[in-house]
Amino acid sequence: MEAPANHRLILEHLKRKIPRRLAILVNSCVHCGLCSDSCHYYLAENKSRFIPAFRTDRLSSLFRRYHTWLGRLIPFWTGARGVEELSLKEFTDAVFGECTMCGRCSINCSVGLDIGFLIREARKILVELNQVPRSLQSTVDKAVTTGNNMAIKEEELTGTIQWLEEELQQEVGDPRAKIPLNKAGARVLYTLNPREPKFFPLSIIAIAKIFYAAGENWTLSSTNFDATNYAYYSGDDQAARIIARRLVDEAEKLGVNILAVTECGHAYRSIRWESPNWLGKRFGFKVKSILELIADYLSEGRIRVDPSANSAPVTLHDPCNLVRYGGVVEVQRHILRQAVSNFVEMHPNRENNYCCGGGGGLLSMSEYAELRLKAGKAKVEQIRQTGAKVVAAPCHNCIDQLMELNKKYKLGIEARTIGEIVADALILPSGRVNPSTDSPSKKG
Amino acid sequence: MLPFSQALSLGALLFCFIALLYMLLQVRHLPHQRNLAPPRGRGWEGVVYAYTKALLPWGKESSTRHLVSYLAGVVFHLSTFFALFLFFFSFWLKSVPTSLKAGGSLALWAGLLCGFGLLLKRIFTPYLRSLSYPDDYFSNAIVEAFLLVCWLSLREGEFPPYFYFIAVIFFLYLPLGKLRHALFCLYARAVWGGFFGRRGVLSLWGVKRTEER
Ligand code: SF4
Ligand code: SF4
Repeated sequence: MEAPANHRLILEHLKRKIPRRLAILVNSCVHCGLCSDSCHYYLAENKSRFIPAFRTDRLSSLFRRYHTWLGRLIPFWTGARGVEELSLKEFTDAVFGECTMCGRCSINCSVGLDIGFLIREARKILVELNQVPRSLQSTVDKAVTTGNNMAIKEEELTGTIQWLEEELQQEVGDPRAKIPLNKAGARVLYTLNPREPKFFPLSIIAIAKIFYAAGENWTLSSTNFDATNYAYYSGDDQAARIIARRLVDEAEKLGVNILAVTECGHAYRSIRWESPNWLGKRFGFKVKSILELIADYLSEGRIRVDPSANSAPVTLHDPCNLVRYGGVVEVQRHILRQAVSNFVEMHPNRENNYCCGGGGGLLSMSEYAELRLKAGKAKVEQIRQTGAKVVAAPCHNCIDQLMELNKKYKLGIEARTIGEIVADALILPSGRVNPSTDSPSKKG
Repeated sequence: MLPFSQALSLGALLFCFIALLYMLLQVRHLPHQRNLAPPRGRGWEGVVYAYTKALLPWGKESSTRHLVSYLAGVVFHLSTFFALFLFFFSFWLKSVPTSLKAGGSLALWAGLLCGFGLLLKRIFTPYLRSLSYPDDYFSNAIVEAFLLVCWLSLREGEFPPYFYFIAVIFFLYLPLGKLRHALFCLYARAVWGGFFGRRGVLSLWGVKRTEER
């Protein structure tokens, strides 16, 4: 371990900032190793260092050294290690570069350890030591300083939205169709992943079309539109709070009933589950995934779809933060069963589905790109076995990873959001099936 | 007056109890984040799930994939509970009832074999070895020693001093090393169930929540 200043920071952290849940969990691991093959890294690489319990052991060993009797007296006996024995590089690689915090091992731990939680706690220590990988840190910094993680300026967004609105009007054949901006009193504030306006604008049109067909009273914000929160990944609660507060303030300012989160797993988890805790308050509006709204529209008959518009076999990827950690498990299936004619589940699925390898902020950490693609092998195999031509992935990060996997492993699939699939099958109020049947936005 | 060995074992048990209680109180004093997000599912349902469905051999992928290890673990633990039960009752029973001898011996032998198997697995499987420290081996060994003296006592029909001396080591070591998971695992399992239950991920009846509550 390097500088004594770092020692002091870690010791201080271990003394004052250990949460109860962490202490319970690290006291509970029995080193049984049953979690090993739950992890897509271990399955891909078959190395001990990729066993989930091994990764968290760096944190646990510090805990044992300073918080247990035997660890203080005879550290080697329990594998307790002091800060002076810690290699920051190894620690950083283990908790940032080699774990997507997907929680698959958490679901499968024989005791019930939430490894994803422990890894984030370890990341918190590295935040204090300024050891967050540069690429991830710069994404967080951009979000904090500019309001969104791609530093998109308000004029730029407004321009894109104007252009998209014209496209929408053409597609639905109605000049009154709108993509409202900053509309006070709207029922729904829809939030975006900045990758959408930047690279995949057609996924915004897809949702706008659904809102149009459902007759929804909705709006986008021209300034606080970014649903993502990479500080959740980096483990920086202070930055996470700043980012989350913007969205909450915007929803309160516009007086909406629902803050709808775009198809983005960690964004949903951050604002739905973590932000109330970060901000220390309950919100006066509901937070919903856009999938929940689409499912509601279908159930209420507010939109109708023609599954024959999506005839290619479609399988469904379960983003970890939306499904395993978010609890949005069934609505996407409910939607796909209506919107496509050949839906094939991959196995295992739901909370047991494999991580694609792109979560945990890994997609933004170019340092670990090679390993990230190797770790996607379990997902590649799952997809291959379904024989599907389209992978529905309700998460923009997952879609990016799936597109890369598609290229590397020659899967021959197309990765698409559920919104795009629904939009293609939409029966518009005028009675016609949506004319754009082949969205070019997310080709593999 | 209790014989020395019995008195000593009760002292060790008292130490074990107080030490675990102290640890529990220490943990309870650590900062805890209240959950302010509205639940989707029911936390209690998740806790019940954690203690029922999740314990079944097919309750988790990890137990299904490692069925033999999982079942060996279950038998080893059940056998240890049985040995503890015998320890408590040894203060009342002057001699072991014959009805307990055959069944009890079988349970203890099953535990011994399973525990030994798990120990061998830990020693000879590279990935498990990489996860293990002396504490892991010793914890297994002390439990096995406890099971062994329990079985010997059953065979002899009475509880000799060495039974209590091994119990002393067992109780003294329990809060210090990995064996303290006996307490914390119960807690961790409930936390796990409560967390994923509240988020609507674990459901007793297989129906996932689609609406927030
Ligand atoms: S399954 Fe759970 S208890 Fe066993 S080694 Fe893995 S994390 Fe530890
Ligand atoms: S959280 Fe996911 S990536 Fe991390 S150790 Fe567990 S299974 Fe592996």
